[in-house]
Amino acid sequence: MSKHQQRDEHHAVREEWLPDRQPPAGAPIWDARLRRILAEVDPEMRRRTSRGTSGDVSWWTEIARWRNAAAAFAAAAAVALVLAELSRAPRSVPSDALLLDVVASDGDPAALWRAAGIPADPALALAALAGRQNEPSSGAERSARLENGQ
Amino acid sequence: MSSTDAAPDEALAARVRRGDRDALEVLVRRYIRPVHAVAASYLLEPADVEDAAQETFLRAIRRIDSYDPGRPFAPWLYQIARNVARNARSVGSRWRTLPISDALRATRPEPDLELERAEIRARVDAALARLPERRRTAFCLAEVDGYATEEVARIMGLTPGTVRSHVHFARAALRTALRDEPAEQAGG
Repeated sequence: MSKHQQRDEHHAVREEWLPDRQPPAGAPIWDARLRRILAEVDPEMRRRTSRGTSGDVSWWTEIARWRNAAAAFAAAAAVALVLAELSRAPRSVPSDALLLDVVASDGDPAALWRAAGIPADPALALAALAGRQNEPSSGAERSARLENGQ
Repeated sequence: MSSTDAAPDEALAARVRRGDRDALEVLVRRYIRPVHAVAASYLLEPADVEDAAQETFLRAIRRIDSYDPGRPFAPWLYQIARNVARNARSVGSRWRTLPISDALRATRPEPDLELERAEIRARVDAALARLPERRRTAFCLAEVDGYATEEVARIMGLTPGTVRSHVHFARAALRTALRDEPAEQAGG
């Protein structure tokens, strides 16, 4: 039979042309392969088994295992707490320092504003100071003056 | 048959996660042949196929924590087998280096007939190598290793209809390769 005749006759793909099939289920080779695979994965399974049994130990053993991590966490939390407290403390200017600045300003309005922590142009500082002096007094002062008949 | 032997894959996988060797043995025994068949649809050197199957199970156990027991186990394992075999193939394993099986050689048929068979098998191999991965694997599982369509579908996570379609188109591609392709191109 020629090649062409054979191909025309067998359009279906014959089994003998296909790749070799795996040995049938139950063949002894599968047992050998199974043993090889189980031996290969044994270290991984041993690791899992030990991890699994460690779940049965008492709670204090578990705490002891995490002792170092817990101590580090507690230290970090304490530092964070101290830093938070420090940042919350009011940053008041010492009154002595303010007094010295007022004295040193020697009547200069800009220096006076600077003493209060406000940078100001000399002319604007003078104007602002004059404005404050002309400002009407507070409600409480006004009522006191009225009571006194002023 | 013990209760472990009959347990569903997903329950066995959960036990493997806790290090249960009996459950592992049942799972490996259940899937050793399909995993070899999947690897063989990528690599035809028996040693490469065996290495890939072994690596598949090792990876599966290492990654068993990432397996979602709410989903079927077989397609998850199949995906690992596919990746392992694909990597092995890209590293340098060849699709087929023996154009004619040992069994054929052992029978010592007439030299002309032997050559002709070798040529046809080389053509079939080349055509299989050109098929899309899933199509080739579905074809090899169903037609080469004789798995039922439903079983192939379960392993690959496809519907039986899709498997039938893959097998149909693979068969058509092989028939075309055998009928039309000049012999000189068959080796590639």
